[in-house]
Amino acid sequence: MLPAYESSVNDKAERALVDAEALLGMWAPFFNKPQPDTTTLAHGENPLIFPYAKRRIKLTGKGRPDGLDVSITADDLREAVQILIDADWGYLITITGLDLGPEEGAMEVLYHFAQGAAVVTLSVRIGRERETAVIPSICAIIPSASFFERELSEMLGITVRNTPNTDHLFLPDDWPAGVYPLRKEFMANTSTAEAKDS
Amino acid sequence: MTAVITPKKEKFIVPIGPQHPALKEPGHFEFAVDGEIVTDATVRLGYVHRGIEKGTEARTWTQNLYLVERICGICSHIHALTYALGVEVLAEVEAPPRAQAIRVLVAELERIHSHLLWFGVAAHEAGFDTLFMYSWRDRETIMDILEALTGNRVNYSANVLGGVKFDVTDAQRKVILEGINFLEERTHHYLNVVTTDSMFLQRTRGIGVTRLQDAQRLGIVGPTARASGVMRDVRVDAPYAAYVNFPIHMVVETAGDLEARFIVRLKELFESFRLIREILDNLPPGDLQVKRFPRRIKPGEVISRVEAPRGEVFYYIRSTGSENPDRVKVRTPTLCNMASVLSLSIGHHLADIPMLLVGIDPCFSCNDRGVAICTSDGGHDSWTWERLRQFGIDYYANKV
Repeated sequence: MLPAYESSVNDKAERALVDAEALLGMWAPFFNKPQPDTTTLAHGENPLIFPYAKRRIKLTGKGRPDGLDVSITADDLREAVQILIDADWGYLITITGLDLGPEEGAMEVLYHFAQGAAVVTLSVRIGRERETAVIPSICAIIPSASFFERELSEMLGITVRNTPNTDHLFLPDDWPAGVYPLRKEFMANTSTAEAKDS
Repeated sequence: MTAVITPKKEKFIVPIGPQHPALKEPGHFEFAVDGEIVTDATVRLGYVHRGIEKGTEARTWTQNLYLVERICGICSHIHALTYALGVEVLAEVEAPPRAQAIRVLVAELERIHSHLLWFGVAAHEAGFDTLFMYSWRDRETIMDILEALTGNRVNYSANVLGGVKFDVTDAQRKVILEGINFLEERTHHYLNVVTTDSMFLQRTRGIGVTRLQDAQRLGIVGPTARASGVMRDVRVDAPYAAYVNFPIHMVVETAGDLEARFIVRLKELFESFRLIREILDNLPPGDLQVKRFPRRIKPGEVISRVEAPRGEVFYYIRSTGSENPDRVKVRTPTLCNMASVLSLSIGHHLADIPMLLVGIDPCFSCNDRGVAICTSDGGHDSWTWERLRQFGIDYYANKV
């Protein structure tokens, strides 16, 4: 038996997740699952989505039916965000950029939304090259996402299409171009002088 | 006297910083002004960026506990707690109930210290230095309690993965209760001052009003959001550690101005006092730590959210099964609230800017998280960890 308080938090989170599942229904096949194998994709769909073992993002805190993770393509991102915002479902906590490393040859961008204890994460898989590490900006929908998008572009070298501001937010103005500290190739103890030479 | 005439099209920009106008921390702001009125604002951060997110990837799970604790000097416990809670979920280990209660106890003591610190700084910015000195004098009470309990005034290092380091003795319990009683009385006085002192109200009432919709649109968090009527507090929404056994009541105001932000933070102190007494009276028996905590952690990802004094702290932690994390993403509350200052400042007098800025209780270390050293010839260089460590050893060796 859960304490009354815990179960009420639990119920609220579960209801919020049911709402989110309904809202994002068109991506239901990709709930807590990887995107399909490239061979099953129709012609013209994003070839960057490789089959990979999608794990479920766990949550801390009591009253936590585990959150909802939705794999979507970069093209669908704005639509999905718009749906959540229009329905007033939660708020954007932050955007996490993830370099999966040169072997995997991909990066992932995670958009975390929370309503109460429930967390919905939209994950977009993109490439690591200049032409493929591209996502659309969501600043037109959520203006406060600008800081997060600036962080993505300076730390991971992701091009955020149509983002209002691409100036450095955290890194110095004289930081060498093309060096992205959160990429796996960048070693933690590199000095700026070494980074410039690389 | 010759007047400088600026054509309407050109902007007159007042740079403020990098020495921050409110707290003694670095951030650079540029305000475009028309006379005294601000028309546009931009911010440049990163002056104290230490590359901690990258640093976590080169350290073990345990070493990182000490690293993340140093993200912020004021809410150090919160960072260690958020990290520990997340890693424990990944390792499928749960800290014992007594440890969880002590974590909450330290978190609430830290909140009192943080809010009182902010209160003093805010009073100073309003030109009310007497209030600043009184509140910082009183803050020493809480610092002494924290030192008695943990051995440190800041960076308490209370957490280990899978529990806490210390217990609360009867003598400590007595010291805490005495200190809390004194501070509660003082907080009543402060609440009375900020809601009645007419000079002070001129700096706060009706200034920097953020309406509910704007607070939501700008993604504001923490007491700043609650002062605008946003019902959001991770301690209530998604109770972690022992908050499920020791529930907190959310403090919400609707006015959305600076005065409301003072009231929310001061009223939160009463909640903290109440909760601390409740925990001390009902501390669950049992162990302080789990017996064993794995060195390697199974592959997986976790989101950990905690309510820091300034608002929601968010950690995303990813393990690939090794001794080091693959990625630790930290989102601190100041980053969210910074955007609100920029948009709020438009239409206000330049003289109100320090107060607006201090109203969100900005914390730049949290924001920035890298070691950059300016060399004497004006160049910049980043030191490696080894070099910094060697510098420390040599410095103290030569000193003796």
